Amino acid sequence: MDRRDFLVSTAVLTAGAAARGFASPNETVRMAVVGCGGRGSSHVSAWSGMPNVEIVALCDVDEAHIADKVKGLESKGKKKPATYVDYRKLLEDKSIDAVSLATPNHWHTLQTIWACQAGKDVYVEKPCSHNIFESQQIIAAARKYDRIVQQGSQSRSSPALREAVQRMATGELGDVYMARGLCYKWRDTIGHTPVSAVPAGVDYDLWTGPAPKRDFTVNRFHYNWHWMWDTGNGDLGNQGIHEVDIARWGLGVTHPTKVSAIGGKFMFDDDQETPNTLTASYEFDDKGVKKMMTFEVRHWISPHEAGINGEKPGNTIGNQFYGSKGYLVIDNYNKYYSFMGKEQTPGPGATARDEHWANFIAAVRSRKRGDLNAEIEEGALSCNLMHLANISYRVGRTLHWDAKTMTCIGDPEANKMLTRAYRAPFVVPKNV
Amino acid sequence: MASDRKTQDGISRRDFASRLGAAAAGIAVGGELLGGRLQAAPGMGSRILGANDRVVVASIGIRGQGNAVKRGFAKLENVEIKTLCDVDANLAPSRVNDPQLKDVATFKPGFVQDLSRVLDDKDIDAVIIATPNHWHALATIRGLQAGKHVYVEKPSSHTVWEGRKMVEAATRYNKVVQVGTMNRSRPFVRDAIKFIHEGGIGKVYMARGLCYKRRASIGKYPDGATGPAETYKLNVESNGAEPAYDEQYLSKVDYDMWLGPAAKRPFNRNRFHYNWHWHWDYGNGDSGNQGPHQFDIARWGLGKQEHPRKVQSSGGYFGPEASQETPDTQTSLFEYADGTILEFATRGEFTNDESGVRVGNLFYGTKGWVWIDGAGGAKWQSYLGPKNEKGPGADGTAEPPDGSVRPAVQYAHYQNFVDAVRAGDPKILNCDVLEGHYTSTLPHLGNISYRVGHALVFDGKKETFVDDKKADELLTREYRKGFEIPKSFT
Repeated sequence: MDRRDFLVSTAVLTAGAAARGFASPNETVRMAVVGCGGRGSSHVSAWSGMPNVEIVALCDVDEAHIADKVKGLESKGKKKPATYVDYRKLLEDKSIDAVSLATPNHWHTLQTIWACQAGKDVYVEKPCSHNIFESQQIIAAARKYDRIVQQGSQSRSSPALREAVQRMATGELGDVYMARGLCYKWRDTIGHTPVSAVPAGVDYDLWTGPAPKRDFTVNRFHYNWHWMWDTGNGDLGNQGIHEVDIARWGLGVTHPTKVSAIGGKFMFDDDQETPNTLTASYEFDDKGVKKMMTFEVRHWISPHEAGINGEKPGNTIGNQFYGSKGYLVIDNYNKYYSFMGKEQTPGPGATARDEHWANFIAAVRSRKRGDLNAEIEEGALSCNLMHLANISYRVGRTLHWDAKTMTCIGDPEANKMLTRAYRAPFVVPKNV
Repeated sequence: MASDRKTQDGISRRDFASRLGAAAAGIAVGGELLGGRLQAAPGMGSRILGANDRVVVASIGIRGQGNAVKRGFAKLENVEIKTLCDVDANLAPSRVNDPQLKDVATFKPGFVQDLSRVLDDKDIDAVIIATPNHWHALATIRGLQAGKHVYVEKPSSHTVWEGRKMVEAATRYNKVVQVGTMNRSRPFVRDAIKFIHEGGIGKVYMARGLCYKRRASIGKYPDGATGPAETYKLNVESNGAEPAYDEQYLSKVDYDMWLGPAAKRPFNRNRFHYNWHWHWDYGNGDSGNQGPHQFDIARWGLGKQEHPRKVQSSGGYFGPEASQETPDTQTSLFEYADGTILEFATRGEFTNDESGVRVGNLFYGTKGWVWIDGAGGAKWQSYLGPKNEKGPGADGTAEPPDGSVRPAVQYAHYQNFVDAVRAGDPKILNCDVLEGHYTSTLPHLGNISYRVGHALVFDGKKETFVDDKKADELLTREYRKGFEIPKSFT
């Protein structure tokens, strides 16, 4: 099936795919999980554990992944889902209400747009886009087809973090002028892997999708695709995007005016293309008020900051917010604490797990995108911050961002990197 | 000679009295007096010191840091402070009769308001410069031209260009110039750096400097003297008020000389003692105030005898409305030619510490990491491996490792200077003028990037930016007539 055929078929599907009304909360939401590797396992486990949600289909370009998940579902006494290698075939099943995407980054937007066109709601892993053009298109598709589309930035559904952001919004921290995001996550070398045969049961062409077709290597494939620009966005766009999103959320800002990043790939001689150490600085103009954001990615031995992760050695994942009355710390996904005034007396704090999966299902039922905690526009705006830092790092200079034209002022080289050359037929359409 | 000078104390005192009289009478003490200095013959006034000779020094700038440095030098063996010099003659009585130095028999300084008196005094071997930043280079170069050795506070310069001129002048006049980044002489800091240099944490790919010093708002005031019932505090949270800068006080201040190379303007209390730090004409913000110490340690630890090739700095002033021009929050990133990264964070509002450190450094290596506490210079700690196990360090309780017995470790830096002066050998210095220049250039580059608002590529050989005229302009300043720095030294 070529691209045109597909568009035609989805147009047909769309015409006949007016949103199904959920008459009662008890009616089953029919879910498909797409991408059944590491993160996909969490999706399968989450949806299969929820009442009135049924995993009716699984899709992966690697048959081994599918077999593993089918086995898992069956062992829990669940119905055997339909299985697909080609996501486009899955979309032809009108009985599927929503897709849950845990594929590599370079597929997120295209799969979301296709799902919207096919009349399905989408839960898409972060980052929802692989570049800034995709960020715009994913929003446009969600709007045009009036779909419920949530990015998997689960901290948005942590009651504790929602409380923290609310406190900042109401001025409890005074004027919050700076946020900091930390992604200090141990990443050992991935080494070099030679060109090798595509493993049996893998459709590498489908896996490659919009990216340029390259010879298969183990390092280009499962998980380590994160460290290749064709498919991933480095750790800033892997773990880091959670904390980028939290920082932007807490500051209450949308587009930056300036982005600068400096970093490098240290210690290792291996296949990784993305930097393993990266510090990004952002400036925002929030209705005439300047706000700052700094973000740091480190891949190796580093101390914790601001009490995040306690005394345990290892990763440091979190945020700090600095205000005129004190500072507030986000420790990982579901916990915050604060220190107020000159004496730094402990202020408010809370820990509460997220309800992100349930939040999506609730919005699927209510048909109100306002019910989503991480509606796709919020997700896409945060992705843009991540993309801009990567572009600044790659061109080696400060980017001056014009939110009106969605371009970097006076920087054709940077602007080229706002999108990619799509490999037909895997093209994110200019007109969704 | 110093031994002759003993009998001349009274003359110095008379100088003081007459200067006061002149200032009180409203007679300007201007640059024209000093203009001749620039033409002074190289090496003039220098004498060859023996290993046991008393080193005679003068302190230029004696209010805050200058007062502290003066005390340190006064307590050194066989060092005599002959003259105290400050444009603010109101400071003279308390600094000359310093109660903390009442037991130091050799401390019987005179006071002069006019720097040229110091430069013309052939007894004086060395000058200590603790003026505002915008005077550092000019006073250093005038001192060198007058044949003096120089101990100059950090940052050694107010701009990159004049920092290079200091290096050239020190070479030309063949004198000893030490920059006051005293951690270079602190035994525990030296230990920590030695541990890093010897590969204690493997290959170091990144260093971080922290300047987390909360600074309350300095407020905003009109030009001119304080009114009759007015009090003035350095910041809104200061415990005590400053002396009223009323007409009577200002009659003993040579504000024109204080302004020096900076543009002529009326007196403003915030553009004077201490708060000059927060105005670009005189200071370099906290990145160039406390910052140079931690910039210096970061660069030292990284082993970089060069300028970075790239710099990016962003920040802002986020405090209540004030006359402050410099940012109170600033993140500056530097990249060296081999990709090594130096990060510097300046925060003047509420913030967390990092590993217990607020003013200090962190180093990141392949085998572990290290923190160095900059507050006292006696604590550092390494952590090794994935389990973050404690490696070598110092907890502040141990005796200094190199046998130093001096109670306050910063004296070692002064002693090191005096040793180099006696030997006439700049190579002995722990932080010579070139080291100081490399270090001072870091906050300067950060500030320039902050001010022009984007990342910059720096050509370290030429000491200019690559294709950025606007940024290049900030590598130097406009020098007011009579306060120029020579473009070359012949």
